[in-house]
Parts: sequence; structure tokens; C-alpha cells
Amino acid sequence: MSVKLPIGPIHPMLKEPINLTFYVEGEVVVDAEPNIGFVHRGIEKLAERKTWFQNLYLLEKVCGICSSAHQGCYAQGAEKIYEKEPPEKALYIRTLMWELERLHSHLLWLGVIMHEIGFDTLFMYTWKDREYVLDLVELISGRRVGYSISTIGGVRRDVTYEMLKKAMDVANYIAERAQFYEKVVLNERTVLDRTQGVGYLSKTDAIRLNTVGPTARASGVRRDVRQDMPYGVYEEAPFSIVVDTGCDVLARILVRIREMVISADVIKWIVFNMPKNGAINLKISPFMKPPENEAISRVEAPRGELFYYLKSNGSLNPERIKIRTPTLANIASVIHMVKGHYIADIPPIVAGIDPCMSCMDRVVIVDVNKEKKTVMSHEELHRYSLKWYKRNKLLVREERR
Amino acid sequence: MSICEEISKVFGDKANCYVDKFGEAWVEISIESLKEVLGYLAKNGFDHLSTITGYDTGEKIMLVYHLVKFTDGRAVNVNVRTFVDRDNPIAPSVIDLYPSALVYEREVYDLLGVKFDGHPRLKRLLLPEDVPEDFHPLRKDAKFE
Amino acid sequence: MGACMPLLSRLKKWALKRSLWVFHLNTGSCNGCDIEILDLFTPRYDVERFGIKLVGSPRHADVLVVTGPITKKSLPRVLRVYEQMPDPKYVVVVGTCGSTGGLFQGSYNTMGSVDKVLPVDAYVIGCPAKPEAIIDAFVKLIEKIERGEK
Repeated sequence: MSVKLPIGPIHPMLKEPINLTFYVEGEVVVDAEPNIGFVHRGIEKLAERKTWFQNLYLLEKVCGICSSAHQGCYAQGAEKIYEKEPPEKALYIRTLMWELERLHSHLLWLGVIMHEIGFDTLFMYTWKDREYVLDLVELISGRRVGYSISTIGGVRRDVTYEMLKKAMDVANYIAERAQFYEKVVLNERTVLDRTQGVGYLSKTDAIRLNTVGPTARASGVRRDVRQDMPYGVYEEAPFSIVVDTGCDVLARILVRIREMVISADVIKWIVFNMPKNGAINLKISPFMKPPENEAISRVEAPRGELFYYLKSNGSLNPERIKIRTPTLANIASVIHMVKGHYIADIPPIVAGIDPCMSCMDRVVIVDVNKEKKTVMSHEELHRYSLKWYKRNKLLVREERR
Repeated sequence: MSICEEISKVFGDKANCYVDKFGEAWVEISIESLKEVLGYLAKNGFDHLSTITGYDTGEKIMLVYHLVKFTDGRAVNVNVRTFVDRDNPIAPSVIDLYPSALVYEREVYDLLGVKFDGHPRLKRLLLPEDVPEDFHPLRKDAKFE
Repeated sequence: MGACMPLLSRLKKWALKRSLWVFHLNTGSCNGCDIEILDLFTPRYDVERFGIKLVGSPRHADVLVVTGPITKKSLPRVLRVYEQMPDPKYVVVVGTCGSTGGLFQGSYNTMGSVDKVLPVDAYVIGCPAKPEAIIDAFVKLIEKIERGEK
């Protein structure tokens, strides 16, 4: 008979609070159910009361880690509503910031998942490297987190020669570090024990459950909004899709590391091909009313396909803004993936989809067979999972051989 | 043959298909033909459901299903629009065609009050459990204290 | 015994300000402030050299660092965490959302500011607050502990 195991958010420090109720039998998970809404701030309703230009700054705060993706996607959609095309140089700058954001987000995630499996050294290394990316972003936009670079009609700030030169240096440095991380991940016994064979999601399941982003690409699904529905300057840039057929957490790590190298290449291409002169902003008046339209905008955020639906009724306030974040799309796959795994495997599996969720809830483990109820905080689940793996390392290695 | 021509050929008058000025294909159908049209699209390569958008027009509630077909070249999008009554909003669940609708239908139920016939666990997704049953924030006449 | 009390309280203050143990609680924030708080413990800022440590349970914490505008669903959790913390305890709010409600004022699902729910000792404004500003808040909190205020 299975037991109900409500598990709170899985990482104490970064993600939205998500509460997943797990049904377990002994140590093995048999089913799961999501319970989210801890970060539901009513943004879609608030957006209806603000103007089109004010919403740029509201929607940026849907997620602090991929804020540029949200704002850029909204600006792209609003430009369709206003029926105006941004100037070419603006698209280059926007894409540059999108790729820098992908670098910072993947480094952040790499640190987080290494922390989940107990490898804190790599957590410190990746976050130190991330600081160089943040320095560059601060030079270009003025802020480390939440850059606010896009506006309806272009971008707000221009780039100078000094910024582009630094972008080249950062791109080269990160590409080199990514090779180092790939070597570490493939050779360290600690990492391989906890990630190889864990969280298996087959290609058919990934397509059936509509998984998006690097989680899908790690299962061999060749889908990326930058390739299938190009926007920005991705059609001309040397962008290539990164796919791995491992289908487990290790594959997800490798896909993201290789994506960092591709991002570094795109950044270097942008630096070389950025138009030297040209307007960066159409300077649309914030008091100009858009025509009645409905538009759809899709962007590849670091976590997957980000979807916006915008509707205008001819006034200064939008009629409807609908947002679908990539993590919501991946919840169905998480539920499928944890089935059949040990409780101790839950942190890396959930962290493996790179949930843009802050965690703050706790885990309730209910074992129906023994009729015992244990309540664990996320940190306690994290420590339990590390201790369990230390004790059962050899058993698990045998099983997974 | 473009997707619009294909749908008009198969469904005739039941579906009103057009391409808007941004190149997006829209299909307008009645709620009764929803499963038929989505079933046809799911069988013909449109296996990715981006999301289900709900919107209260004031007279009716509009539901839009955003579907994508990934090919070797560019992806093809189609958006299927349908309407349900405001006073008795019931729509058929499409979980058997698109399992990811499990989460999207709960969201539309939570924020707009549309009930999906056939959903195994239709309860609120985002708002706390103790909120009154008839409180759906995205409705035009939702009362806030 | 009476003569020991001032000595004990001075010892307590000295120990507290040298090693503040922090429990971080996210009540519905976008993660911007959270990643800046986490940045404090990474090599660039490294506040562990000052004795400030992140702990996993509120029962071990001296300071509760709160981010986010407190959504209705996370409210019971916030109150429970605060009750579990042993005295003396302090609350630091990081970010504009928690300090004043920020962008989410008027939303149907947020409480507004954190001080409607908990007694706050320090506010750090910023969206997100920079790590330097958060360190400044800790310094001001330590000065407050020195002065013996509550």
C-alpha cells in the first residue's frame, strides 16, 4: 500500500516554493502530485491595471534568474501589438543579454545541483565564475540581477567598445571553464554515483509529456525555440542545438555545460557582427495607444520554452496577458521521473529540471505500512539524502550496473 | 498545403480558420467539436501543447489551445479558439490527448472557474485551499476585499 | 549571582555579534534577492569569515532573513518558522517586496509588507538588494545588538 509523502520545495535557497506530495512504499516513490502557488502574486491580474510600458518592469520580476527572457519575450509580443519592428542593433543587444543570462543561469544551476549531491567545492567554483558574467552584465546594463535592457521598440542602453571587448574575454573564459567542468563531471565518482541512471525520462515520454528545454534535449528530443521559431538574431548566428541521449540527470548536466559553450560562441559572433551605428530604440511614446490586436511570443529561456499571449483592446492597459513559464511545463515530467526511485534521489531529480522555484516548504514523509509520519525540512531531506547515499553507495552501484 | 487549408478541407463549416497579420494560424470552433479537432491535430504531428489560455470576454469565456508541430525546418503553430458559457462553464478535458493539460486545466479552473469534464483531480492549483469556491480572480466581476 | 548577570549578558552579546546564524526564508519572492543573499556565501563576498553562517533549520538560527511579499499560501509557514526560532531572535527583510510590498501592492494574493506579520529589525531596500547593501544591514544589526536594543 502506498504512503503519502508531501514534499516541500526541494532547494532551501533558490526556487519558488513548490510542494510535491509523494506517495511512497518503504523507500521507493510510487506517485507524486504537485501543489504550487506559494509564489503566486497575481501578476496576470496586476498587469491588466498597469500600462503597456509599466508592465515591462512588472513582468521582469516574474523570475529574477531569467528576468531578461521574460522582459524580452513581452517586449517582442508588445512590438507585434504596436505593429512596429525594432531596429537591427537593438536585436543584437537584446540577444547578447539573452545569451549572457543563459550563461549565468546555467552556472548558477550547475552550482546548485552540485550542492544537492554534496559536492560543495564545485558549487563555490561555479558561483565564483558566475561573478565574472555578472560584472560584465553590470557594466552593460547597470545592474547585476534584473537588467531591464529591453523596452517596447528596442533596448534602453547602448554598448561601447570597452563592453564588447570585455564580453569577448568573458566568453572565452567561460568556454574554457565549461570544458573543465565537463571533465570533472565525467570523471568524479561522487557525481556519477548520484546522477548516472537517475531520473530516467525516455524520448517518447519526453515528447508525450510536452517537456521543454534542456530537460527534453537531454532525452534526445531535438527541440529549441531558437531553432524552430527563430527570433532576435538567432537565424544568422552560429547557433546549434545541443542534444544528448543519456536521458538521466547526468545528461541534463552535460547538455547545460555544452550549451554554455554554444552561448559563448554566439556572444563572440555578436561582438564581431554588431552594427557599429544605428538607432537602438524607436522611442515609442508611453502614452501612445496600440491598435486592437492579439499576439503570441515565444522565447527560449534558460529553462525552456517561455510562452506569452497578449491581447490589446486599443487602450493603454492590456486586456489580457497570459504567461506560461517553462518549469510549469516540466512538472508533469518530474512526476513521471520520480516514480521508482528512492527518496534520497528526489533532490537531484527535481533540481535536474532546473526548477525556477524558490523552496521553503518542508517534506512530510508518511509511510502507510508502518503508519509513521515524519516531517522533514528541505535541508533535512538534503542531509538525509547525502547520508543515505554514503551508507548505500555500493548497493546502488551494484543495482545500476 | 498550409494547416489552414487542411483544416478547412477536413472540417468544412465546423471550423473557421484564418491566418492573422503576424502569420499565426487561428481556428475557431464550437465547444462540441473541440475533442474532434484536437484529436485530428494530435494525430497529425501537433504533439506539443504550449498552454491553454483562458480569458473572460464579459459575455463568454474564451479558451485557446496553443499547439505546435515540430518539423525538420520551421515549427508550425496553430491556435484553436473556443467559447464556453459564463454561467455554466464546462469544457471537455483533453488529458487523454495531451497529458500536460493536467496542470493547465487546473490553472484555468482556479483562475476562471471553468470545469473540465474528465479531469481526474480538478482542484485549485495556485490559490490556497481555504479561498471561497466561487472566487476566480481573472473573472471581470471577481470581488476582492 | 547578581554580579554575574551583567558579565553574562556582555558575554552573550559578544558571542552573538561574532557569529550570527542565519535562516533564509523565501515567502514568494522572484528569487532575485535570494540569489544575491546566496552570493554572500560564495568566494567573492564570503561572509563566513565574519562568522555569519547559513543554517538549515530555524531552531539553530539567530537571524531570520525574509524575502518576498508574503503570499497568502506561505503565511502559515512564515509564522511557524518564526515561532520555532529560539530567543534572542532578529528579523531582516531583504528587498523592496518585503519592505513595502513593492510592485505587488494591491495584489489579491500578497500580504503587503513583512512588518504586517513579523516584527522587523532591519530593512534592505533594492530590487534586488545588492550584496553590499545586505552586508551593511548585517553590520547595522550587529551595532543594534551591541547597543542592546530590541
